[in-house]
Amino acid sequence: MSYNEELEPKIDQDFVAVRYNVELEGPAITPENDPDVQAILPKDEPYRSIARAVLRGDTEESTIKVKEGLNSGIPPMDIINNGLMKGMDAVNELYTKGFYFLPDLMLSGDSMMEGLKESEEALGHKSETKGTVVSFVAEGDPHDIGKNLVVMFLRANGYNAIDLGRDVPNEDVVNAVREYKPLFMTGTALMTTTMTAFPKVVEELEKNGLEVPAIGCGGGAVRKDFIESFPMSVYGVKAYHTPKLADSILKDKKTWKEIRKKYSKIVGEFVPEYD
Amino acid sequence: MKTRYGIALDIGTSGIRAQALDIENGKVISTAITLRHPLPGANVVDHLHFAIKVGRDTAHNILIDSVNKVIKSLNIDLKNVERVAVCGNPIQLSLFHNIEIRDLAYWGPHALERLHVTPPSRNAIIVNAREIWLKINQEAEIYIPPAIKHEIGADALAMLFKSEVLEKKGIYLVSDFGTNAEIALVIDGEVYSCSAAAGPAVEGQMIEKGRLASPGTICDLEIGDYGWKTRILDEDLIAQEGDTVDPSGGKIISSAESSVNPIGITGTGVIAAYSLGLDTGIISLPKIKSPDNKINLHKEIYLTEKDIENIGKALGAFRAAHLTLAEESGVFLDEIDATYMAGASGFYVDPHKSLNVGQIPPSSREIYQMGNTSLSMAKDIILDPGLLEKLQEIADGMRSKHITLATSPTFEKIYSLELAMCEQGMPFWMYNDWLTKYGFQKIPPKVSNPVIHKIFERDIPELGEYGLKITKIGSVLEAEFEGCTNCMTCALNCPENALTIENGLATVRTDRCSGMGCLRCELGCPQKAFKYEKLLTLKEKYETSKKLKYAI
Amino acid sequence: MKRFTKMVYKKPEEMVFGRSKFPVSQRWNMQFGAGYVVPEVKVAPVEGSEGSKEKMVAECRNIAQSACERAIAVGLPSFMLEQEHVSHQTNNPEWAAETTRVQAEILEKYYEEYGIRVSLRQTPADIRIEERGLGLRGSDYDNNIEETMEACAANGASDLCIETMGGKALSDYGIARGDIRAILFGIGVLGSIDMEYMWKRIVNICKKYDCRPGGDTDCSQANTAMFMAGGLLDKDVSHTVAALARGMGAARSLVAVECGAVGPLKDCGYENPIVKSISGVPIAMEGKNAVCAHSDLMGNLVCGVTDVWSNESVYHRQEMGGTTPEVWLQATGYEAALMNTALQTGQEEVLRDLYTLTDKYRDPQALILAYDNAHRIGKAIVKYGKDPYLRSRAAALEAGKIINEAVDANKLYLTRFERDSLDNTLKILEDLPADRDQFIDECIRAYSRKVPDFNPKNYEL
Repeated sequence: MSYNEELEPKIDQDFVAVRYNVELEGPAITPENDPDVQAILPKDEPYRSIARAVLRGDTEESTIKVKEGLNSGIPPMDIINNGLMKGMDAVNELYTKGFYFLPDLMLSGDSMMEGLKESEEALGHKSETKGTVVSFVAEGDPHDIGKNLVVMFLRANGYNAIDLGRDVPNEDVVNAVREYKPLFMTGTALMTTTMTAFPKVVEELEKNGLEVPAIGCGGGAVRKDFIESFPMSVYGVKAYHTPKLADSILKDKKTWKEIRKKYSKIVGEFVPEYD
Repeated sequence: MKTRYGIALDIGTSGIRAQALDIENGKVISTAITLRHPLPGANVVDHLHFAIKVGRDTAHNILIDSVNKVIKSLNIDLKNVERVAVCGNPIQLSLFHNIEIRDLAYWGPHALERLHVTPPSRNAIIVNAREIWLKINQEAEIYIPPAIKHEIGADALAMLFKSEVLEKKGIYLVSDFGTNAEIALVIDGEVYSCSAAAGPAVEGQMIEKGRLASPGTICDLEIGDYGWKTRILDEDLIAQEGDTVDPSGGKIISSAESSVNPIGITGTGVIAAYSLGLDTGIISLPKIKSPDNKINLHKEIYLTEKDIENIGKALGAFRAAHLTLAEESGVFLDEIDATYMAGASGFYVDPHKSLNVGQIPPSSREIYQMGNTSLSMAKDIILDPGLLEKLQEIADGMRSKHITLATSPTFEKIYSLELAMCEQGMPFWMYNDWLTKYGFQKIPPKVSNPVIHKIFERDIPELGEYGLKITKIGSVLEAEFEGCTNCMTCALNCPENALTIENGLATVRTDRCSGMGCLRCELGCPQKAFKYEKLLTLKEKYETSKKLKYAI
Repeated sequence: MKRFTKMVYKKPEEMVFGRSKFPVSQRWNMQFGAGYVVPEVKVAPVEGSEGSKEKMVAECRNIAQSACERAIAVGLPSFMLEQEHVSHQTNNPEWAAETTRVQAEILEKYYEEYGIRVSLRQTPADIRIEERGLGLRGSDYDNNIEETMEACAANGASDLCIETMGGKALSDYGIARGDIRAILFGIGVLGSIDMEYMWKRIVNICKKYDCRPGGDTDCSQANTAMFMAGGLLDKDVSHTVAALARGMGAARSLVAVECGAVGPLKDCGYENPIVKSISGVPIAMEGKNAVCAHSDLMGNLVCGVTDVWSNESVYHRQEMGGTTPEVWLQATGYEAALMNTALQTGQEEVLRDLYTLTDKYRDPQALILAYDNAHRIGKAIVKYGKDPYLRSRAAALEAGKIINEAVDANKLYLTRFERDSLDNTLKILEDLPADRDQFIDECIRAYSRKVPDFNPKNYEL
């Protein structure tokens, strides 16, 4: 087309037609073409395909590519670290930038977990993770959306999150601490009648000589002053804060007292409840 | 000839309402209400929690004491009361009847096993006044309607029964709008029910400047010239025109003639603010676009971003519940022929705004605001006790189609989308896209001119020839605390002015106290001397004592 | 029925305003697509004039009179007067007969006195109601349309047009909900079926008189999508989805030509460049001089290959510069004069390209109507020419492809909403069955209950 080649390139659209909607919001970039994501995605195969499948939340594709990789002799730990976890890193990046939202995270998390399952089967044992976190819903409480989100965020950030489920008897929580010696624990409750389980759990742990560096307590009915009225606990505000709290224990060896004081700084944003 | 009386009772989270009827001609003689519930607590779960702490018997006694006061306010000859019908949710009715309540507090089978709790039957039952300790003719029959599951009870039955949709062909949505919103989708008489724990934000609680409906609270807002026009409840709880304010700064643009001084904002007011805020763009979830990030409605009355988040989540629970019901029952939301709004909150809210914010489906083209259906059904039972059996049949037929949202994967998926919208600002078009990705239906487009039927002016239409009496109730809890330094922090922290303390002797009014859900008194005590539990060992008056005679 | 399976225009650069492969000639020395562009004016009778036949006739007379006078006053060599009927005119064929007659008389008078080339277009309203009971075929409304068509043709109309609304219930449903399958069913299948029904009749009526069957537009469907999509900042309906709907509209509007319509195709049809590339008939278009009626995002681009330049519609009333027939005929007249100057000086291709480039990247809806892209969509349509369903689907897919290519080449940028809705929509379209009957079955099952106004019997399905 001659006019396309001759005339079109001469045009500066700023003087002809301005797409204000694009100016305002920024152009849509496919997730893979985002420059920060480009920096994270591995360049080599099969890692690149695995990471992209996780990025797109394509569980079928991630399972296929992981299986292919395992069959061709690649060590499972490499698949996990260089493929699956890189994909999740990219997902987290887009989530932080406000490009991806909760449901994207959930879908990508699923595809990562499927790939992880395959790899761990080949490995014969659980993979090495940053650390173990135990998550439960208070005894008597059937609501677990909050806990499911917490578990998803933890796993998306490389933690081995043990999901004890809902309506968990205090005894079982104590046993889980004994077994897993977690670096962090999360408890959620939606009702005022069930959140009374948390101080009881702490009491039982102390009685049995057990300890967790910090227990993040959150949920609809839970209030900060209630949680801070007994030791070992930290009032958790948003599900996506959880990995940062765990990180602060893992990397900076923060205690529950310190986390209470520096919550906003640790999670990296202004938290009205803590200011 | 002696008049034969019947008393209809509605025991709700925000208070007790009673009406005396002449059984012969069915007319209402008088009405008495309380403005609060006698047990401490801001919502029904708090009441439950308190009752468990203090002991079932004691809680029952406090409630009945208040019921008796209300009945006395009806000003009729109590010896001639033949029938009493009561209505309310399972927690209130169980407290009234003094039966097991722990199964309502702990829903998980583990907890119930551990405590050796057997959930009681909550079927319809007739008992005598003497069993309940009501100060009326001891032979009077007390009719207690059935509950369906521990989440949905006689009050939900009332709204279904009074809407008359159980006999009609068509698809109808019947919804309550309180803290525990019971919602039912009725398809050619088949009922699909659920209970959306929308949360106290819908009643104005968990909102910083939120209050239960009372004189001086902002109950509605409209777009006015250059600002938002407020409507405020006066002493008679009728809405009056208030000042017009600029929400971005709080400046008063124009003053109303008879300004009632505003002290807070109700749940319906919050919904109005949310609706206006979304429309005008001052709310751009999750942010408020004003210089101080607040929606300013008057000096000292405002909504914060946290408040907006809370109401957003509460409304999200409604919307997710609607979608879940529709998906589970296999219908589309825009196939709903009419939407019925029950309860006081459903009566006083502006349905256009409810529709705008998703509290009712946006495709609701025909809306009925029904008012207080619990009291209404109780009256029906008085006049036709055979109704009790019919209600039991309906309850039995409904059991299999109750959806527990807490354990529904559909609800979880949709509610996560709601969270993404109000906490992160995910755009609405993306929300709809995700619904499609999950294989669910999309939110239908908004209907432009819904037909609204508001049959009465008040949510309780007839007050009777003796009129309305507001009964003051409330018991007093007392305790002495060692180590008290008289710093008064506890009394100052109390958000409801329920507590006075002098030299370690604390006195708490149960009808003002927010109970187990608050505990600011205990949590704020610098000496850690204040222990709420001690208040719960009550004076002898309220302990169960067979020796007490409740003679008329 | 003979369907287009080959392109009349082999190359897009053969297309230009003022010229078409099959020019049309009418009485009063009028030719379309024969080397010059004709301005058009269309005015809606003032409110209240539908109260009686006399008032309506007076309105129509005044409109014609004003237009003719102004044309002479500023020196226009030609113009077309179109009268879009209000429902009263179509419901009462005697009214239509009379209004057409008075307008024809006036036009003829001016033709005879000044030699100005004139054309009278009559467009009865599609007053049929798609409700279950009343029906699109054989109802009273339907019969009235037929009678009115006859009345107009018999009383001096140069050509007849109509804007068929079959399939609108479904496409409205789809547009409001972003359901591309419903849109495709409404436009591509139902729209095409109803077009055939309507146009076979019109062509037959015109055969009896010195009157041409002009053409149709997808105003009721693709234009609805365009209006609801709104401006750049509006987000109710995605602009990329509206662009796909426009592509489908072309596949449907083509049916009129296949039934025997000769053009110029009617002005509201923004899809006309696509239809012209396939069939070679002259077309009428509207854009920057139709702002009295609505806003669009391709006001200049649509001049590119048009043969008639229209103002779409305006209320009959007084402006500062005169009555609206005067004012808006002058506006379209000057634009046509510019195009004609270009034609006369051999600069028409330059002007065509300048028009096109002004809006080509303003919006996805404009992009696909640029004449080179319109030609591509035309090719996609004729590839499946025999099947209205497949060719509409192909048109939408090709439109999507065009948009994606422009985005990939960094010539057009999309917002996230436009991007995501385009991706989702294309995926759904690709997954649709390749078999027409299967698609129709699925849609009837899916939409019969949801769309209360839709009755498959109206389309003989």
